[in-house]
Amino acid sequence: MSMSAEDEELLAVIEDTVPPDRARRVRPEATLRQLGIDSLNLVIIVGRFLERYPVPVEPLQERLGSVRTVGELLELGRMARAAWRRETGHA
Amino acid sequence: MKLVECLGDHPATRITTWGRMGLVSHSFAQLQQDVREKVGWLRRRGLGECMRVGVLAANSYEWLVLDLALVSLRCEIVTLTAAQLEGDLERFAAEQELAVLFFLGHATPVSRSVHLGWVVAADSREPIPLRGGGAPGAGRGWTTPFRVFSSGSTGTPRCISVPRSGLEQVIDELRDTYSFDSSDTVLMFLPVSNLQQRFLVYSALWYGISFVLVEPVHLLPALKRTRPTVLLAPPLFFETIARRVTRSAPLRWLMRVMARLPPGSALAGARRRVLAPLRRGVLAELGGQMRLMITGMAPVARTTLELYAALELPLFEAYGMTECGIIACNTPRATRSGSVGRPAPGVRIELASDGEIIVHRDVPLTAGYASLGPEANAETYLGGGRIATGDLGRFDGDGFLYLLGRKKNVLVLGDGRKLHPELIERELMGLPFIHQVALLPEGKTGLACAVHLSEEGRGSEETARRELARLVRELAGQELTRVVFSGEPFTPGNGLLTQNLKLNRRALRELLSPRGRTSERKGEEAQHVHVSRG
Repeated sequence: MSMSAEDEELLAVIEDTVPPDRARRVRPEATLRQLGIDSLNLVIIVGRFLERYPVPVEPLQERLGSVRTVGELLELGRMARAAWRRETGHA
Repeated sequence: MKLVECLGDHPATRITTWGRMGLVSHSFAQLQQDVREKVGWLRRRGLGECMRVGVLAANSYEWLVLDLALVSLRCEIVTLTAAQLEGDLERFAAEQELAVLFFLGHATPVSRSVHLGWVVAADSREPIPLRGGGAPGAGRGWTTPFRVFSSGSTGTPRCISVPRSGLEQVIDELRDTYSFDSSDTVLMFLPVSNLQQRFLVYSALWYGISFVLVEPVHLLPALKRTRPTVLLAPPLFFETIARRVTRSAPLRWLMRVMARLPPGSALAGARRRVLAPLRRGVLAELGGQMRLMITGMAPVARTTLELYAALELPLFEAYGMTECGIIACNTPRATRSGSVGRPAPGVRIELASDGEIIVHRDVPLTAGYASLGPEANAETYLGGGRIATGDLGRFDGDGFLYLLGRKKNVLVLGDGRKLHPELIERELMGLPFIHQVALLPEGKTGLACAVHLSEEGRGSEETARRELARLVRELAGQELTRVVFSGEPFTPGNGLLTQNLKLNRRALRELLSPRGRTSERKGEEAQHVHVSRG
């Protein structure tokens, strides 16, 4: 699966949150269980998405419980990015 | 207990929570007014003294108002976690003799249970339909304001009664332990069902200390925007925060070496200059003003503590359990690496003949397990304010306590020697290719390891097996009979860690079985936990 440069940035946020020896395994199809990402890691990752794209957390929070893979987590980052663009008028 | 009255002593102190529009701040004076209104509202809807009320809530201002209102009404508050919702709620309510169960916060699906009648949204304008059988006990005084659930070492929730006297005692002790004052802002994000978290809230209210109360998902933005000075969090949080600026393995190694430099060392100044940019980076993630960070609740990696020590960031390890609160803690005034600190104020510790840590409090913090009989209670509650922790420990000459491991985990070798697996596991974790490891008994006298590797591959398994065997031989004086490799990390999700993030040794032992795991979880997990044997 090809990824845009912006998605690569989101992926880098996730890589920053897992131990260095597991960063290479961070791929969209990888499950959070395989990477050892637990609920606390998850909220830290979402928190860092929101630092990059400051929008209300609630729409993301509602979907947090159903996130199982890195790809689904990336989707949350994309949602934050899209909402931020709508709010700020960025293309 | 006059928590609501004391809010008037510090009317300008602030509470910050996360509302619909982001962070929102209320003064203690406003809180006092809101609580009084809520008391009247609850009373008009039929709630009264000594009724037992269940609450399942998110961390919010509305929870705080409801909680203090129920305390003012002298209700007994049963604090639920999501775990109780998974079972038979009607049976749970009957066992607890609940008059009503309040849900508060959008993560709690009140709609799922609303058909029961006595489950209501705490902000509902409708009348409260009280549950039959939840009437106050005749002549029952308001001696037990709370019931909480502890996951315990078994992972099975246990209902613990918290007497009023214990609560009043701990409010003072917490302030004395960490020297909180009115210049502090304490950030709390663990669930309000966590007893220590609630005690911290009450201590802040009592002494007029500003605090921030948010859900975990709001933690990072709250840190940046509220710039707290005190934070209580599990070890994993501190490890993750530091990881962003200390990813390189050589850098982490260098920092660990630097952390071990004596304070007066000629190299200490150079260390500070070299690490200053990293320190700024980590401190910025934490809001920039942190003066005290407390961790515990799960084993803390030595590397995490050394990393913060090298950066001169104030992270201190504490040791406690729900049944008796904080037992020992490192503080800015007295800290020693590798220990869990000296006994906390109000606590005396004795070591039983087998080394078990027995905690003694003149005023017990909790009164016992409400759901268990006298025999089960007597295993932990020894009487006279003494509580058996199930942990083994030792003191050094200066009164610092060191944890050796769980009493039930002690392994007896063929020659009769006793082994603390946790001590050996800490050393095994130092091997660079080991991510997680458990040292387990095999057969009557054998020793085996269950391992998750940092790197996958046949070569890694061979190297790991060889190095583990060497280190176990060196530390335990006995050969390792087997090594089992788990294909995925140990996590609470796959049951290889407990909910407290400790090794689930029973589940890990099942990995040693020729048939793999045999518990009821097997069907659920077989497709996830791949095991290779050696």
